[in-house]
Amino acid sequence: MKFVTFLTENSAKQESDLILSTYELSKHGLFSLKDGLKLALDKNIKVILEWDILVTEDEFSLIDEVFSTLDFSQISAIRVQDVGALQYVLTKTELPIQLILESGNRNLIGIKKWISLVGNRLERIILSPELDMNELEEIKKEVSVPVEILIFGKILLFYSPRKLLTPQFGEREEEVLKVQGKSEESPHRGFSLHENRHGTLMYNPKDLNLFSYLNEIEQMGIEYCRIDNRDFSSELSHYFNSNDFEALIEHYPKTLIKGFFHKNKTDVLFKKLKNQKLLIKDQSYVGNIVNVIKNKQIAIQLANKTRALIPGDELVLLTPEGKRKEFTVSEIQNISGTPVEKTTDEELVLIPYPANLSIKTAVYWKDSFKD
Amino acid sequence: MMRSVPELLAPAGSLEKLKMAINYGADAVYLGGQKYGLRSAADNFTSWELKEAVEFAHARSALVYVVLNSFLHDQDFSGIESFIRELEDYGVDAVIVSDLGMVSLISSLSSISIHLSTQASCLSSYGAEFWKKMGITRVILGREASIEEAKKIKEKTGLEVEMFIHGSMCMSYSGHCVISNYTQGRDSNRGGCAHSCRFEYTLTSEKDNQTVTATTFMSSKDLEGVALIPQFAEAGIDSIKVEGRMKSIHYAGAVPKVYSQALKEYHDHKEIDLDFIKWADRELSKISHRSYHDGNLVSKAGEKSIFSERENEESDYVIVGQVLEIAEQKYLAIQVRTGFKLGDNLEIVSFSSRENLEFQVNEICDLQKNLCDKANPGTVVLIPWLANVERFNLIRMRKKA
Ligand code: SF4
Repeated sequence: MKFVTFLTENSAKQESDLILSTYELSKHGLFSLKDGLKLALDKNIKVILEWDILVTEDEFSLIDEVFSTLDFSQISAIRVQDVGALQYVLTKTELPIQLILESGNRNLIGIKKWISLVGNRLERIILSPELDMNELEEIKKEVSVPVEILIFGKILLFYSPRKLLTPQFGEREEEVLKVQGKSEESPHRGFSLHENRHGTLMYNPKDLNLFSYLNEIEQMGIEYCRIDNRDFSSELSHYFNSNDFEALIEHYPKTLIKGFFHKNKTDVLFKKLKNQKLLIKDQSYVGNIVNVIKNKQIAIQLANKTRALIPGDELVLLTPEGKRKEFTVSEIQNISGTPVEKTTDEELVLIPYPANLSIKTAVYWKDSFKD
Repeated sequence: MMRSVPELLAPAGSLEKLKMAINYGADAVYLGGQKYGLRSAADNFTSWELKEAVEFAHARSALVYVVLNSFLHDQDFSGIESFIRELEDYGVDAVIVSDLGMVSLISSLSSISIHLSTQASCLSSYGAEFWKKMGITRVILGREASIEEAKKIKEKTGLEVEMFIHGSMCMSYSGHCVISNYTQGRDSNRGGCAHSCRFEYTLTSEKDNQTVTATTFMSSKDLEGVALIPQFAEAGIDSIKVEGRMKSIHYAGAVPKVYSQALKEYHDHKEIDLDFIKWADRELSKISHRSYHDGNLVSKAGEKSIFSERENEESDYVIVGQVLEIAEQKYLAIQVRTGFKLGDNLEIVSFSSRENLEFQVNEICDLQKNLCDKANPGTVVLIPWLANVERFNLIRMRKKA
C-alpha cells in the first residue's frame, strides 16, 4: 500500500505518489500549472496531473489552451472526474488515466463498467468516501485495477460553479477567498468555504481520519491511500513525512471523524419518513374519502377504472393514521342524489356514513385487499 | 420524432399530479416508482399506479418517463430486473438514469430508451459522446449548460437534448452535494436532501475576520425561461423540463399550462411577444415560487441568481380546490383545499384556453344540498354550474390581505 499526497513546497520525495493540483484544472488548486510543474522539476519528480473540475462545452476552449502548452514530460498520469474530461483525455493525449469515481459510482456493476470502458490506459480508480469498508472490500475483491481512497483530510460537501462569496465580501485579489460558515439551522459549525475561479466549495467542519484502519485497508488489498495535505502546516508536513501519524493527529487543528468507513447508513432515516400504510395502491384500491357528513354520508372519489363499485360490495377502510375498518356498501348515490347501481370511472359517489372516519381515508375492496 | 417545438416535460409526483400536468398540456411526464429514484419523500407510484399512469398518458398522446436516478449502492439494485420488465410491459417510454451501473444493467435487460439524468452532470459534447456509446438516446444536460452550448452538443453528437426550463435549482452541480449526508445522516443522492443550501449562514472571512450575518448566500433563485422558448426551439432542443415532483397540485397543473401555451404561441406565431410574456409572468406569479431567474440558460449565473431571502416562497394566489364532478346545468362539486365564502371571487384555470374563468361565488351547498355561507377546507361542496368548466380544473383565488 502506498500513500498518495499533493505536491506542496513541503513535499518530500518519499514512497508517495504526488498529485499536482492547479488553479487551472483543480477544484482546490495550490499553484498555477506553470509554477507547479517548475516545482516538480526542481524536486526532480514526476507528478499526477489532477483535472477534477467539471467543464461545460464552451469552457473546453480554455482546456485546449492549457493542453496546447502542457509539458507532458513532467506528468506521469492524469486524473479526471468529468466524463467529458475523460473523453477529452482519451482522445487527445496518451497519458495513463486515473479515474475519479468519488461522486456517485457506489456500485460494483458501474465501477466494473468504467474499468472495461477506459481499457488499458486506466491505471487507477479513486473510489468514493461514501463507500463503507464492506462495500470497498467487495469491490476490491472483484477488480484488479489499483484502487485509491481518501484516508485523511478535508471532506468536500458541495461544489458549485457560482461565485457565492464575492457577493458577500466583494472582489478580492487572492486566488482563493476563504471563509468560515455556520448556521443556526445546522448543529454543525465551522464549514470551510472556498471561492476560486471555478466557483465555490464547501467542506465538512470535521476532517476524515482513517489512519486507525490502515491494517484493514491493507488487508482489503487497496493499493493507494490519499492524504490531503494541501492545508498542512510545515509542522504537520514534517510529522507526515517522518511517518509520525500519531503526532500528526495530535497536532491537527480540526476535529477528525471516520466518515462512513465503518458503515454507511444514510438511506435508513428517510425511508421512515413515509407512511407505509398509505402506499397500498393496487387493484384493490377503490379511491379516497373526500368528504364526511357525520352520521349521514361520506363521499368517495373513485380512482379505479378496472372495477365498478356496486351496492353489496364489502370494503376495507384505512385511515391516515393506519387504522383499519370494514363495512358493506348498502346504497350508492351520485352528487345529484340519484341512486347508482354500478359506478363508472373516477366518479364522485356518496354512500351512507359507516363509522367515525376522516377525509383521506383510503378505501379498498375487501376481497382483493392484501394487508 | 421530429418536432417543430420542444416537448414539454412536466413532473408527476403522484397520479393526481400526473393527470393534472397532462390535462394542462404537458407532452410528457416523469415520475418515480417506489425505489431507485431521488425523491424519497414524494408520493411515488406503486406498480398499479404506474400502469394507470401510462394508460392515462398514452390515451392522451403523452409520454411517460420513469426516474431511476439515485446513486445506487449494490444492495439498492435488488428487484431491479423485475421492475424494468414491468416498465416494459406497461409501455413506459423511457427511463431516466444517472449511474453507469444502472445504464449497463438496463441495456443488458431491455431495449427501453435510456435518458441520462441531469444528476450525471453531463455538460459537453465530449461527455455526451461518451454516454452515447453507452446506448443513451437522450441527455438531460446539467443546469450549468447554456442553450447555445446545448445546441452545439446536439449538433456534435446527434443525441436528443433535454434542458430544464423551470423550477427550483440546486446550487451545486447536480450530484455534487453531500451536505445532508454528513450533517443529517441522509443521502442527498438517494432522496434525503435536507436543503441545507436554503439555510441562513453567518460567514466570516479568514483573512480579515469580516463577518456577514444571516445570509442565504448559497440559495438559488428559481429558474424561469418562458421568454427563451424561441431560443430553445431554434437551437433544436428536444425537450424542456419543469422541475418539481414534490411541488403542489397547483404547480403541477398551472406551470405546464403556461409553458404549453408558450409553445403553442411560438408554434403559431414564431415568436413570443411582450403581451404574452406579461401574461405568463402574471400567471407564474400566482404559483408559489422563489424569485425567478434565467439561471445559466443565456449566460453564467451570477450574483443576481442568488435568492437572498429567507426560505419563504411568494405567490399572489392560493389554490381553493379542484372540480371533482359536474352535474350538467346543475352543480359543480368542488374539493376544497382552502376555505372560501359567499361573495369571494374565484378563478377556474382552464385546461386549453389562455383565458381563465373568473366568477363570484353566489351559492354554496354541502353534498346534502343544504345552503352554506362558506366552504371549509377538507370538504366537498356544490356551487352552481358554469359553462366551459371541465372535471379536474383547478380553482384559485387571490390571497386575502
Ligand atoms: S442542499 Fe441544496 S445544493 Fe445540496 S443537494 Fe440539496 S438542494 Fe441541491
